[in-house]
Amino acid sequence: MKTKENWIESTLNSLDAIQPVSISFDLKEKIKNSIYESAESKVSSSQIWLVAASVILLLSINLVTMNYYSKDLNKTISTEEKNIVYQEYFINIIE
Amino acid sequence: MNDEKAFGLLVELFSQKVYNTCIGMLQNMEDAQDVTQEIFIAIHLNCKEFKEEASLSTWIYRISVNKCLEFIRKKNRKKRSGIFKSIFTPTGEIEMNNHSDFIHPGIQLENKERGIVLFKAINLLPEQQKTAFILHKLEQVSYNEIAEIMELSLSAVESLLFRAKHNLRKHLSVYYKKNEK
Repeated sequence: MKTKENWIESTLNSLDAIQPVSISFDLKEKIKNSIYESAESKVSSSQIWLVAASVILLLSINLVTMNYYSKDLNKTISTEEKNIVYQEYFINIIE
Repeated sequence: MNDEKAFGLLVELFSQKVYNTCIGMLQNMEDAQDVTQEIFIAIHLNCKEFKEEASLSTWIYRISVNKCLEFIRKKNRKKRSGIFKSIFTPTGEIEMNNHSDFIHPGIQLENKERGIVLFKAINLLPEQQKTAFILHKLEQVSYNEIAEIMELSLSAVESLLFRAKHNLRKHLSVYYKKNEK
């Protein structure tokens, strides 16, 4: 029983004289250089906003253009003209 | 002083502390190196958030501990799916024998064997107990600073360390019985 208690006690105290592990020069340099890598890969918020604004602008231009052309198309072909085309077409078929 | 130089100085001053905390928490030298690097990137990215309410050392320790715990959780999540059943004994207790042997490079030769067993037992402690124990035993951080790092009261830290030691005794006792010849 005493042996067990002693063993537990000495195991718990086994870290008492532990020495700190020194960090290698290479790792330190790697850490120092890592901030450049992280800065390169980091996208700034202004860049994100710029891309978002460009996409919105592009979509708006497309919508305006589509709207403009669809109105223009309706103007150029009036309903009367359409009726004439239909009549001529059906007459030809009946004949 | 420019950013580059300031960061270099920070690495010189604190890298050893951070690295040793990582070694104690992660018990794996390669993981400790990777996480140390991650911690310094986090420090660099969040340096504006540092308020002088706490000391710089406390703030860096806090980031280190959180990053280590985050890493352990991520690693455990990956492991859990495959070996969940095998690490539990029929009584539901996690066995010490299932943890790999970690030899801390700073441990004295005569304490090597006992150190391996103790690190296995430390791994079985709940997160907070493990953190408090590692900071106190390995890093010799004072109770007051541990309280600041872990954002707890002093009495809570005392209680955590008391329970950590109690649980370690329990785990070591079970281990002793199993390995007694």
